[in-house]
Amino acid sequence: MQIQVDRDHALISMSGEFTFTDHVPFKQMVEEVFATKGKAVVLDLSKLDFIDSAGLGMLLLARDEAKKNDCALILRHPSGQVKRMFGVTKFHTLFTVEE
Amino acid sequence: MCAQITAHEVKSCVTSWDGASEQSLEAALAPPATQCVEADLLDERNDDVVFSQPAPGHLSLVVSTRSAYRHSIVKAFIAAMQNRTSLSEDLRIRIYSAVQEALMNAVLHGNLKIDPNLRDSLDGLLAAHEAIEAKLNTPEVGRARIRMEAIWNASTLHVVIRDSGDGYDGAEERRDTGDAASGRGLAILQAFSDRVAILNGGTTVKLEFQL
Repeated sequence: MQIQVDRDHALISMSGEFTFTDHVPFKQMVEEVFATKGKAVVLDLSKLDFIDSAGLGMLLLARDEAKKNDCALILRHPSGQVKRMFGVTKFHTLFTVEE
Repeated sequence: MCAQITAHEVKSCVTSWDGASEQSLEAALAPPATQCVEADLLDERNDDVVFSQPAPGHLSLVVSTRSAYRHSIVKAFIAAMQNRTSLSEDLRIRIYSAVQEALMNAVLHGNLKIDPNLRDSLDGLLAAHEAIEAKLNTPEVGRARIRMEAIWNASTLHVVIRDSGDGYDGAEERRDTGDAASGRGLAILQAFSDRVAILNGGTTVKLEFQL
């Protein structure tokens, strides 16, 4: 999984596959969430091809860490398998998801 | 390279994978391979090679826990399936999602025996990964086998994932995950496959897909 950060616009773009071995980029993502100014950070998922339950769990941990810093985490444009996974696990009840 | 092994009137094509990359695994799984075993796991007894009549649609893979953790094993296996049978995009996504979940459970809980509750916090997650790396460096854990097998005909595909662990007590399975970071695996298996069977004391997951 790769991430690209646009701090000026509080936007983190994720691409590739987000699975249980991606704890290093995940840690980087959490650090970027803390470094980004503002009350909301957007995770652009439009280029994320695949996520497993470990990836979902890491998104929840990122959300929890953002909350501790009085930030909101918004998930934008999930598609394909990622969107299906969100539907199965009812992620729209746990996050703000922008279609 | 394919070792043609003939026993009585049976033929199967056994290949070995060098454990180096997803790309070399895709090459090892390319037709006419029917069985692929990670090179480091091949021994003189060839316990992982099955000398029996392969089903018309059959593909098996045996890898180490270390390789299953570090490489996209499922992605390569699904690509190999697509070389042998036509999978719609919808079916490919469903198979990939379910098999990835089953493999992750086999690796993390079956062979590595990682406490699932560790992944419910950031500190716990980082501690879990340090513990994983330490375990993978021990031969008995790093080389513990993960077996994947696909068997299909015109109407049905079965994928079986087997770990080398001790199994689990079904009563311990978390049903209500709420928004916990872990515990969604079984729900995902059930949502993406047409039938799920947990066998052999929890060491084997059998997934069924209607083609």
